[in-house]
Amino acid sequence: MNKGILFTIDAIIALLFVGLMGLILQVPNIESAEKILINNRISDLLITSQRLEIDSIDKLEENYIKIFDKKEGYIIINSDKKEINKNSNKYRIISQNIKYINSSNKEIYIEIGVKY
Amino acid sequence: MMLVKQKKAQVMILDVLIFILLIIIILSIETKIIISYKEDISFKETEIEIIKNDFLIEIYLLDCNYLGKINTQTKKCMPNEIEIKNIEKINSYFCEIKIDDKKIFDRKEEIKNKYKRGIIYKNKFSVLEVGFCE
Repeated sequence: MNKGILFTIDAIIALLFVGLMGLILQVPNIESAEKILINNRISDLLITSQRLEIDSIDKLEENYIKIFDKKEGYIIINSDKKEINKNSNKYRIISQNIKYINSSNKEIYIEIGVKY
Repeated sequence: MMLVKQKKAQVMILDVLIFILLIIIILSIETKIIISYKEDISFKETEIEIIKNDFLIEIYLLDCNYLGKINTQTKKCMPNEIEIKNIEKINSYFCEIKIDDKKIFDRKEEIKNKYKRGIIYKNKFSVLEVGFCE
């Protein structure tokens, strides 16, 4: 009887070990595709805003909507801030900012944040 | 003596039955783990394809041989600024290219995924939409 119990326990431990190996083999988390896509689009908006010297928050909002459609977020130009598509309770945010001097020798600060 | 042998046989049968039952339980749990692991892997493969496609667009945007606009003074490609050239040489992965809803390239095939990028075209902000084939 004892030998039988030992055999059973041994087999269970072996199977549990195999199961644990499966868990350990999980692929490490990579940055999700959504984050990368959002980051690339924010970069697009910042680069184009700098090149076109956009300093109007309404113009930037228009461009934001063209790229992100209904995605919630915010834009800041210097001290002006505007929330866009504010409706959900999403709490994770990706933001990037840029500071440059335009042709009128004025310093412009732009920040764009997107919730996901 | 006979009774002892019978008891031993009963214990052996019980032992084997418990062992089989436990194996079935453990295997079913492990099967679930393996299935979720496989789903996880396939999900990550899709994500990698999405990222790959997005960076493929980026490469064409930055490459002056294709969509990138070259600065005639510095002879450098301007980031996110494009001009239409060599469309026919663009990678066969692209199914459709639109600038502000205006089609500039169309292979008339079924589109699997669409990607939007912010660009400068003819000195104004535009949306570049690239569709990838099946």
